[in-house]
Amino acid sequence: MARYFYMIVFLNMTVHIIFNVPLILIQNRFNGAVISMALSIVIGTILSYMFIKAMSKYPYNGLPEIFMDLLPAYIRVPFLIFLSLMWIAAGSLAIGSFAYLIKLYLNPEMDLRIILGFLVLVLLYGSTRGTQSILYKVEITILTVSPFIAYIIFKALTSNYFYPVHIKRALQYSLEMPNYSSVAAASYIFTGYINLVIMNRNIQAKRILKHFWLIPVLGTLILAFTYFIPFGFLGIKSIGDFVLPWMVTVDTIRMEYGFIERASFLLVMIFMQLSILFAIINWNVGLELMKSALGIEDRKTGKRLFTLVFLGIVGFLTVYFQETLNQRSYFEAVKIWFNLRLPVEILLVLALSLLSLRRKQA
Amino acid sequence: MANQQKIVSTLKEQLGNSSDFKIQDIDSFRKKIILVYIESLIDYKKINKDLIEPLLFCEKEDKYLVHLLSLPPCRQLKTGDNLLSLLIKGNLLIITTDSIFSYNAKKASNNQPGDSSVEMAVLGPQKALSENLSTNINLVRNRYPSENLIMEQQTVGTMSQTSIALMYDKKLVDHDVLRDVKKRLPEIKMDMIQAIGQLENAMTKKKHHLFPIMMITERPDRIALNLSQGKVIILMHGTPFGLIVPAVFFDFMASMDDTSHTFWSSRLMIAIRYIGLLLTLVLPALYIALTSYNPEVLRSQLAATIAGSRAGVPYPSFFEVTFMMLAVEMLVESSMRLPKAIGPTATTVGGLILGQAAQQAQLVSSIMIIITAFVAISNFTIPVNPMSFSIRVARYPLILLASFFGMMGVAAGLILLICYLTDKRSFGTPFLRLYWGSSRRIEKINEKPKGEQG
Repeated sequence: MARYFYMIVFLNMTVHIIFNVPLILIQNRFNGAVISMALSIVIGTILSYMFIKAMSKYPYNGLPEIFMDLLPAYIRVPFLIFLSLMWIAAGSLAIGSFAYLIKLYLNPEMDLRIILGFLVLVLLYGSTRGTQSILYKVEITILTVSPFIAYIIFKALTSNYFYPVHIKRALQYSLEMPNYSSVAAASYIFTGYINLVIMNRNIQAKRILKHFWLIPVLGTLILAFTYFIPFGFLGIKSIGDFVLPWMVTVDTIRMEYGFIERASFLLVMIFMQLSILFAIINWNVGLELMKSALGIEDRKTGKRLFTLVFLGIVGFLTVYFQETLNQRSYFEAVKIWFNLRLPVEILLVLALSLLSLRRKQA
Repeated sequence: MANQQKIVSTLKEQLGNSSDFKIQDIDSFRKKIILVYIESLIDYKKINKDLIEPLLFCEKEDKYLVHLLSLPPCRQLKTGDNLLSLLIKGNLLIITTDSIFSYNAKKASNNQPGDSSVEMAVLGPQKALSENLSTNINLVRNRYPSENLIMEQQTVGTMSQTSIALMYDKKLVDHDVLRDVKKRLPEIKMDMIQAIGQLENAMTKKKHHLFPIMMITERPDRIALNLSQGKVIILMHGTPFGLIVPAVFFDFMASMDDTSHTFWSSRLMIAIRYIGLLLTLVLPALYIALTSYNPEVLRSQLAATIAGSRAGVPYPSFFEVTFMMLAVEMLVESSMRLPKAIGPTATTVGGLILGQAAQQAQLVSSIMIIITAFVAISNFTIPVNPMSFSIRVARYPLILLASFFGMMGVAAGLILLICYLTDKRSFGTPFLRLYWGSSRRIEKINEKPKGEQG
């Protein structure tokens, strides 16, 4: 069902706020952020098209099954393990960043370790479900959450404190040389397609190509919204002072007649749904990759034990990692992950495309 | 002749002490015919009309035997048949010199369909199933007059030998589900099965499960509708309920009345049901989270009102919620089985007096009383009973999470609940998943790609 795929893509596009992609872009707002964004839209679209096209040649096969026939074990196993760790890291980093948000907005008196530990337990349960079940959950969550997202965007655009003139001023710095880390961060927004490495077992990639135009359109819209709207509220200069520009932006919005007055709590709840879902998907994909890399598929009893032990270690490392870093260095780590992700993604897509070309000739 | 006597004496030995075990010798055609039966199970009128009267009119034995075999419930027994179990199932044995015939003269009991009392409908059909299997099969067949409707009879329970009927439309049925059901039924190792819920639990593989994956219904119209959707129905003798397999979450939120209202009014009813579902799940947990952890989430006036009403309450909101939930659950539980004469007293004492007094004594806040009532009422909007019970249980983990983690706990609890529900399978059918698009034709589940490759 192609709609699950688009929902995952949409999820990735919205979750980038948690990852503080806007922060990285805003830091480079005078150094070619706009060009980087334009560039990343092109890169993201091309990569995702190539990848989906390549995956559609292997209906109902995940990446491990494709590699199984094509690559020797000494390349396949380390590569899959590496990919798996990248995915796991994405989930962990997202949930770690979200824990900061919770600490900041909802439970300021609670120990960060307890917050993160609890979230990790939720993930442990959620990500060990079957991939298909997770897809059903994706659909339910996205459908319940998107009206609220639309509401917040509507509220933001009609707010009295929204000055479009700042956006115009931000646009004046468009023609600057782009830099790598902002391209890497901005192109992250398109990266939802990559979950197809496992989801291709459940989703028919051929069907996705029919509505492929959705990906660049959605990506451009969301990237533009998330980058430019905070400028309208915070001004081009002082926007650099905030760690979470979006939270501050939404905090200026008041819902005069609601039970909840501050829209930021609405946003926190939306983020909670989305970031946990995002981490569940990423951990699930990482777990599946790891399982098939090590070939634990078949043994039924061992499978469960391995899953729990593996994710338990991952969860512990997530909490430990976050405890040892402060927030600033945590976001530096996220940036490193972003910078690493882009080449890995390009490598993966190119490798798969070449392999799929070979399949055509054969 | 000797053979005849031998059979009778063996049966006598096995059943001899029962005072309702009857042996009746009739001498005719210069031979002996012995009728053996258990008195309490037998319909006398039927025997009289079908067996005794013709005996007096027939002048030859051959003719009488032809008459016997022409009766639909009568058959000639083979050597391997278990006479004793036939007797116990309400058969009358006719032992002639050469052969044995069994004649099913079972007294039909409880075969009148009563008014539906568990799943009521305002405008829909009013009669429910009866407690008699053949009456029920008749009801279903009348509502679903299709040549594709197949009925298979089996027994379950090693001691109770309860007869059940498996019904499905052979063209529409999902064969994976049918195979699964047929595989699971013989695997049931239970002595006494007397209620359809017992069968349901025995057929569910997981021991600790919260949500029902089969639907118990008493409505023949629901059964007919589900047959047309390709589901498998299990009817059981002795209960006025049928079992529908598989059942998904949305089935439990549908009432049979939905089809008989106008479009917008039925949409409103459905919307109210889902709102009720949400409220009954999260309201107590939200109260805890919003009073004890995150009052700043609410607008300041509202937060102040709640805090004001809680001003005199001497303990944290967790206890308040626990007490009131306990009270309301006890009220529901007690009024369910109370004789009708005492029922109103219990609700008055419990609901009105306790609620009023508890609030005036400032043991609970008045807002908590409102929430308690709200939670109880909204729980009753869920149209199918087992689901409303499950939702009642699902509330408590949320309360627990809320009292440990506040709003974060409530949100995480809902996420976990959805994870649990979407991961559930009812005989291979996803328990909670959204379906898109609708058609005027009744949906068949086997048209959809049901499996894991959706």
